[in-house]
Amino acid sequence: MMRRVAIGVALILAATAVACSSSKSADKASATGEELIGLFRLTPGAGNSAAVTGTWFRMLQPGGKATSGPYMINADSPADGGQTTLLEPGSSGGLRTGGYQSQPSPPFDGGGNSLADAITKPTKFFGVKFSISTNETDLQTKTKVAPPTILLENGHLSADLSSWAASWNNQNFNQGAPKPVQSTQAEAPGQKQAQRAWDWVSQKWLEAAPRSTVTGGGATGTYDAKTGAFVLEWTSHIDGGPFNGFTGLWHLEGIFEASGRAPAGA
Amino acid sequence: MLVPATTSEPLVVLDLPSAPPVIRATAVPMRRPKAPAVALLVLGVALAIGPIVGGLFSKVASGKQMIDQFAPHMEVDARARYDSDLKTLRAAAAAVDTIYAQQGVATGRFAGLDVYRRQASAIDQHATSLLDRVNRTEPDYRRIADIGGFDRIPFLIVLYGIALIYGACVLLASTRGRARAAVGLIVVASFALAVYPFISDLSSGTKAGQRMLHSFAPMMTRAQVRQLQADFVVLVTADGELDTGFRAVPQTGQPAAAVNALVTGWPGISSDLASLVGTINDNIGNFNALDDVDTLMRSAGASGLESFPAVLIGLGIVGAGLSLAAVPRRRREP
Repeated sequence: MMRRVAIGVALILAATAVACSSSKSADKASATGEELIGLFRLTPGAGNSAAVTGTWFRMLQPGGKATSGPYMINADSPADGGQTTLLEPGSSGGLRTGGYQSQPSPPFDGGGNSLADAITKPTKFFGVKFSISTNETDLQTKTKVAPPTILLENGHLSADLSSWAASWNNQNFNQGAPKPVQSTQAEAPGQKQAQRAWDWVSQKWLEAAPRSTVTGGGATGTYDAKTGAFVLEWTSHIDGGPFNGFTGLWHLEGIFEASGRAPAGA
Repeated sequence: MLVPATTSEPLVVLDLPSAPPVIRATAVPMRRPKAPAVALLVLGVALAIGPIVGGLFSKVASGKQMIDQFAPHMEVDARARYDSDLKTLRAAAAAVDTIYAQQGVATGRFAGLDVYRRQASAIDQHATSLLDRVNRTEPDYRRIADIGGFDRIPFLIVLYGIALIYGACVLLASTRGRARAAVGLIVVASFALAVYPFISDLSSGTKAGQRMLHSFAPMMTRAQVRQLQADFVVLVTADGELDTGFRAVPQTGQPAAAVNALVTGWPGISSDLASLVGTINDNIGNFNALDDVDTLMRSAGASGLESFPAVLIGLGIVGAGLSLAAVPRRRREP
């Protein structure tokens, strides 16, 4: 009898802990503004000199500064001496919020060129075309992430673009903000069960808070409600892979077109 | 239907003789050797908890993940391709020098190519050294990759520990019959643990693993990754100039063919390089975890990873020995 009571109390405590943590995250989400659902139609990047307009990307070398570089010089780009790679809208016209624009299958052609063409048109970068997709399970970190979510508050945008992924030369790089945490850690057979048993013995489960799947800040920008013109910017450090330590600088410009939420899994 | 008639006659009183007293057999005095049973319990607890607390599960799994992720780079085809990539890069570097000399290309006209010409020899040296290391390590890599269920070892140890705990408790508290059954279980588990290194190629695999750790150590570092990334930046910039501005420089014959081979082969070369650098970078943690197992074995007084099979055999022998020593025995009559 006593044992049943103890288990009951423990379950109530656990449920309370979970409920408290859930309500905290709900509070956080509700404090960030109105969600803009629809198509963020991209304006193509333009300009041959340092004065670049529209949508573009830069890749900062390790140890560099976002404002001054050094940036990777993409010989395939005419803009800013190759320091800036201009991007054009893809077949969907740009970025959709409230749903994913996933990587196609196969993701690459025989030359390693990205075949994802919904958000941006595949663009040459060091001789090989790269492009963008947003995926429910991030291609690099294997972590489940939210669909692109952009919130408006007093003309300012804040965005969760953790699912933003660049694909190039048979490689995938998360280039989102906030960054998804890695879910690629090795696990031995029986490890999960053994760890659960140990956590139970050491009563860690009572203290365990749900782990966050992302880290760092999101993208930010501006929005003109009259014209629908938007600007979104963020930097995304590359964690892992051949370009570990490099940083992507993203600048999206265009017009927002409100529409319904994309069907789940799209 | 016939119904038996009920009778109301009184029962006959029987005059039975008194039952003889039940004489229980005198319990044979038993001797329970407590020390080996307690030692068995302690060993069981250590084996059941040690791998979890010591992180052996994740370390061994990390090692397995590294082995799996390097698999595509250890294939004969892949290594032959890397070799071919290096030859293309070498030929192109020599060709660029030749064209510079033939056409009197001024230094400073192609900044990226100037850097490439200065660093081509060092880049070639870094890449050749890396490829040599991969080629030299391949036979040892194969042996460790062939170990069956390498990442199940911690789970086996924990299971064995649980079996020892159960057996020790039975030996300390239960009847002689149950104690014998428990000892039987421990002996079977001990035998399985001691035999595992032989049936799984663990013996030869761990020796190869230790050699692989030493061989890979210089390349599984952040400094190595940074060096390869820096080389990549030089190469990618040079390739970009060869594919754009440098085309305006007159090129003929063999040098032109070598430059063209690099430009057209660049997507494949850069893919190979990116993939290998990415695998090295993403497995530095895994490599360090496997190296930790080696260090852990050394700190436990063993001779590193290669002593893993001997440790398993030793544990099996000790566990079986202690359980046999802990079997309750009849006391000898005085």
